Amino acid sequence: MFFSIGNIARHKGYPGPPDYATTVTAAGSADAKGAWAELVASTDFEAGAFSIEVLHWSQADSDILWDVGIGAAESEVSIVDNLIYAVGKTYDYRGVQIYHFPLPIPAGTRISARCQAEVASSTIGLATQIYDVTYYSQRPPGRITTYGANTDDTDGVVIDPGAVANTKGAWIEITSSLTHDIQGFMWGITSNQNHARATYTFKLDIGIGAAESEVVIVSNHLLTSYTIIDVVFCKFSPYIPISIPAGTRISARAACSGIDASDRLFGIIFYGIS
Amino acid sequence: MGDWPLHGYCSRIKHYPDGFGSGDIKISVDCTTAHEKGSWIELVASTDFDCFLFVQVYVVFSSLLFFFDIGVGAAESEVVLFPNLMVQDKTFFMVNDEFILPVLIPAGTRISARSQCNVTASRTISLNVGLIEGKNFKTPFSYAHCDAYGADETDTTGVEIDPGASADTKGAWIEITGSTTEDLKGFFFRIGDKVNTALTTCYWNLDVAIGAAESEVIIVENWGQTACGTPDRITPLHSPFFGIPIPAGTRISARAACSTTSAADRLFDFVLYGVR
Repeated sequence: MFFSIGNIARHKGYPGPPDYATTVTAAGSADAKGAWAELVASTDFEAGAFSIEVLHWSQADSDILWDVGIGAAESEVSIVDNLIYAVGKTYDYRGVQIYHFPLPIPAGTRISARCQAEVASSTIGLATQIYDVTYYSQRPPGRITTYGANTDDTDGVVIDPGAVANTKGAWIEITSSLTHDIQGFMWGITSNQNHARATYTFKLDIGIGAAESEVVIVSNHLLTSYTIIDVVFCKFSPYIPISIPAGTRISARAACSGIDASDRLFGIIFYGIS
Repeated sequence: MGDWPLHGYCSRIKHYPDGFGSGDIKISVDCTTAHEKGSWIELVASTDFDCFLFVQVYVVFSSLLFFFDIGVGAAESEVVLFPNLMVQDKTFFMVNDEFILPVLIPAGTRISARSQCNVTASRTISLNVGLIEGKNFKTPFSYAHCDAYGADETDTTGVEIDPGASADTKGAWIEITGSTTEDLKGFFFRIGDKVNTALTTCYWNLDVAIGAAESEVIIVENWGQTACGTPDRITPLHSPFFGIPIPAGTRISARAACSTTSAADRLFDFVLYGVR
């Protein structure tokens, strides 16, 4: 997903063969960030945006929160925090998820990543893509702020569609107040620590505004879960260029085709791009 | 994928179908004769606002070769807007493929779809579409048309990319088109697994280039893909939108490196969609 009015002049992916992806390993204890792993030693050109693909994972039923950083080894600075990658069973598809970041990266930048997981020492394999983009008159984004990530148990804000099938549940607050104006946003879906799911369909709404006065800005986005895979798809949204002012309350709700008290639940994390 | 200003131009997304009954989760698009398009099925009777389309694919029948078209216009007068979107997927009744189509659709437009597959039987691909509203999409950067390069409707396949018999080494360039028919403002591509139901877990890096044979210039370098032995699937199924202009008359080619040399498992199908 790539949103710029400018033309892209070129693209390059890292690390390239024979490695294809860089393995990033969570800490030896659950829910703790591991060491930074280098994804790109030095970007070849000034990138207007970049994306990262998850090409493999090591541990079934182990949701992962991962950060993207820039800077020299031992001096990494995180520029995107706590991206969620929900991992299901063996039948969970590798590489299904691409994370697009409309953030500029200067030429010569070192890019790295680190992660934490439900299960200690879980790994993910990441491939990085950079895009040479001209933004013309627009101000490119400079920051991604994460709302709703729960690093204590590698999860997000729990959404409960409620005990009535096919009916929207109550609005659940993701953040009471955006800390910055945002130009757009993305969201990620977590397993909510449930790795034995029923086959259900969900319809997700995202709203803005005060409690009891929510205004829907995303309506009926379809999510599905399936028993063999035990994860909720799609795991991460595309970039949605809806501007929202700082101070705005963000909430979500959903309907579900089933009412099992555990299987109807999922988690959500919201990423605002400023 | 999509291409619009970064901020201030989008205000909401509304998905269709929007109900919760058994027929309201997705819309089934059926085909019955091998390699022939079925009937148009209405996805949206009338778009609520100027929009782009956010398409979610929900494949019911696995291990088949599908193309589907997205069209606009009144019943019996549909016009293809996005031709031959390729789906080759062993799946499990999941929404696992979602993408944004970067062409502006005006308010009041009827949107429909039709499909073809590789068997003579009633086979369905199911869609859920979101309308992404934009208040100022009618800019010089709005796109109106899409052309498919490499889609072979006679056997519902794309262009086969063979990385060759040396692991981790780029194979020969494979021509996708000898000459683009129109100036393109950008493109995206889709990948197919050729319905290989016994894939080896492996990785690819894909290049896309323009220019004459032996003089190719790379415009996409090392796009990452992977196959998983379980459940025999290549992902990602599509690229983002690349806003790389390509003039009419340009030759486009692709090549890849693969971590396996298995004669069957290293192959994949490729279709490029030029947007203008």
